[in-house]
Amino acid sequence: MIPMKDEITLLAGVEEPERRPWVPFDPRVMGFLSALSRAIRESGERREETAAFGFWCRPSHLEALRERHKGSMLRVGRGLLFHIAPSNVPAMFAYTLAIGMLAGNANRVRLSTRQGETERQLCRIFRTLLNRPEFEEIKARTSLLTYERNDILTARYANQCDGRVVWGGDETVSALRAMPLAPHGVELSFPDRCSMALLRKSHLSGLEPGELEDLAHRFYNDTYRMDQNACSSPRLVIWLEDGEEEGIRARWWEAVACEAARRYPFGAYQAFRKLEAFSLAAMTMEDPPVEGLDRFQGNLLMVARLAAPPSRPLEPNGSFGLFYECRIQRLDQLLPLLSPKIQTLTAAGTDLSEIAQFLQKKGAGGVDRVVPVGRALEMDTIWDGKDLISQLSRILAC
Amino acid sequence: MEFETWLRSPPYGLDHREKGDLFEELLTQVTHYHGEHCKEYGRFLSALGHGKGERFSRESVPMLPVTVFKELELRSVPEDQIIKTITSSGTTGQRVSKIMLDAQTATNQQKALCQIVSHWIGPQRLPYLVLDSKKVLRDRTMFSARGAGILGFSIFSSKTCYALDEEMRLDLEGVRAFLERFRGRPILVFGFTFMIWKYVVRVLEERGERLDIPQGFLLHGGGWKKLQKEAVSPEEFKERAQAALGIGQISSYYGMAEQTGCISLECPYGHLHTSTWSDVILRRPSDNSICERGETGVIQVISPLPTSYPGHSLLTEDLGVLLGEDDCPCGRLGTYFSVIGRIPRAEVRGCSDTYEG
Repeated sequence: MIPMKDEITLLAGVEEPERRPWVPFDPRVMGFLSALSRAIRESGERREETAAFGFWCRPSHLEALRERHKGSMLRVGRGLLFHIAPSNVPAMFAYTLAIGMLAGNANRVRLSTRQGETERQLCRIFRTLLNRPEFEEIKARTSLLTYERNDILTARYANQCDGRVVWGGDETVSALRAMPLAPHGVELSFPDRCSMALLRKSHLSGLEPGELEDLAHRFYNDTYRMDQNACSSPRLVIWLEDGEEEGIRARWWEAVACEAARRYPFGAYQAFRKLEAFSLAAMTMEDPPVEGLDRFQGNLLMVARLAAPPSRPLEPNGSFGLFYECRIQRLDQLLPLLSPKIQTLTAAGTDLSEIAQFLQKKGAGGVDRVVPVGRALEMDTIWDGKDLISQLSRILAC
Repeated sequence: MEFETWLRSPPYGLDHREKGDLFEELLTQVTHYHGEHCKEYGRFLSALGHGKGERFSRESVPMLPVTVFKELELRSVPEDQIIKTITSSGTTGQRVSKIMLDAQTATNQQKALCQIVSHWIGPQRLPYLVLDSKKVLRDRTMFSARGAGILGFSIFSSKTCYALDEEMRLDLEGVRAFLERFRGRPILVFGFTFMIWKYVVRVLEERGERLDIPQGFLLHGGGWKKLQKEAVSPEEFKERAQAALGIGQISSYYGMAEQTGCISLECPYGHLHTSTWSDVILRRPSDNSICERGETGVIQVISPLPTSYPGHSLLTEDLGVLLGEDDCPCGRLGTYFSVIGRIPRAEVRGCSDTYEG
């Protein structure tokens, strides 16, 4: 690490990145990210987030992304992007950087000072790779840095760029929005969101025990892996009631709880916060009220049963394995629940494109993403309903 | 036992069975009372599947996490009957709890406190040395648990002396004059653990001075979280406070604004004793089951006294150890325990909260 000025620490790349735009999916960027993917794989890293990022950068996936974003119009990057990466989503900084690069930009990324081991290790890999002679050009347009909260510094970076990408909560988004942006600059903000899961009862009932376990494993990844605190982790679980076995509910939650018992570090802090969130919800929710509480594996998994499907948008609080559950008979009953704050709908046992088309036809007020259970946390170049590649590049000629 | 008889009972005179029977009676009543009079609590009970006619023992009474009072103003009496709202500091800089007291709850909690403290220092009013600054009472932003504590214990006082001036400096001359005036008589000394440590004990040590209060009874509590940060153990605190103050007896207490009055005091064996009006249960975080003797758990505090707010059974954020019941060598009946500290904060993953830090 190279200390700069007073309070800035350069983690990788250069202090002042050059800002000449490149073409989206430039072969030099594709080459660099592929090398990154290889380096992560070869480092034998077992940390889930790091490995997942390495996998995301594999050549075939980059190629698939390039295919998807291919259009007839002539595109080029915007120039220099300034990214604010969240502190508590490991590896998020790497995704936002990679997407900025793929869109054809030079990038400055501010990491939180509270970096975990995942970040430190990923930064090391970035540093090593950027120092290789063949990636000199990439290094010249990349800056990974960290500093304590400093509005003056942030305002300067946020102004001296052609686009800024702000990840994090509503508060961060508001703080950054108050800072002037160059007149030609663009801003992409990712505020607080919440998500839900749709489980079709007949489908789950029909699963073999092993298949149910596998689904529970994927559901675990969507939720507990990020303390159920990620924007795309479901809190509300909606059962689509289409007959079949009544006992499936308990079997399902038991399977999820077993998965959590194997993998989730659960302590007094998580238990207290969870009971707190549940109690507040039970005391304040009226439409619909909480009708009951089911616990699985002690306090490890808690399910607050709602008396009826909500008739208006609901943004329940729940982390560390606290789920709110309701039943619907028809997909129509989903609609009143969907506010612009709803991001991801994970679904099991239903045709995803059918659901998406249904939501489109009905003019749903929310949901930016319909994905199968297990892929809630998977980063994509289309996020929060925005095409990041197209928004972070400009059209030269059509 | 009649409620009034119970209120006037000796503070450490009920054994396991007597207290269990009595508390089952009282907790059943008070739980249903809150369920009927506080709509939020009523919803909480029904969400947990509790219904009319159900009986609640110490072990089975539902518990509210103590922090809900930071989010909601909960009361079980009409608003115009609230005579006092106590705020608790909680952790520095965070949201405060708001506890709504009506005349009855305030009086009953005061009576309990009176009986408990009288048991230790005798029924007479004593000269009262406060190891804090008087400005705590004036400054509205500081008037929380600290101010309430100082005032709460002042009911046992005849004359009062504040040891710290407006700038939190130790007024050694004033304190010595006060002690001189009441030489040879018992004195009640009160303060918050960390304040005593930082502004009295450490200051006396640095100046090479020492007080002499052989007939004094120092009662201290709260704020040991900050002390933990400075890596001062309760034993070290006691030893050095004893040396610096030259004081006869030092006793810590465990209590909270959410159950004002029902404090647990430390006996000469270093055990915190619950009184006739409260109890503690240690819970395992994994499934809320009850800890064995000697096992660390989360402290649940129980007191049938609060009727104006549903605070009769609370899960705290504190870790403690159940040491025993009815068999402390000091002879007092009831549960005795020790407090270890706050549940440590865990690092939490998630999307929001990015720019700070």
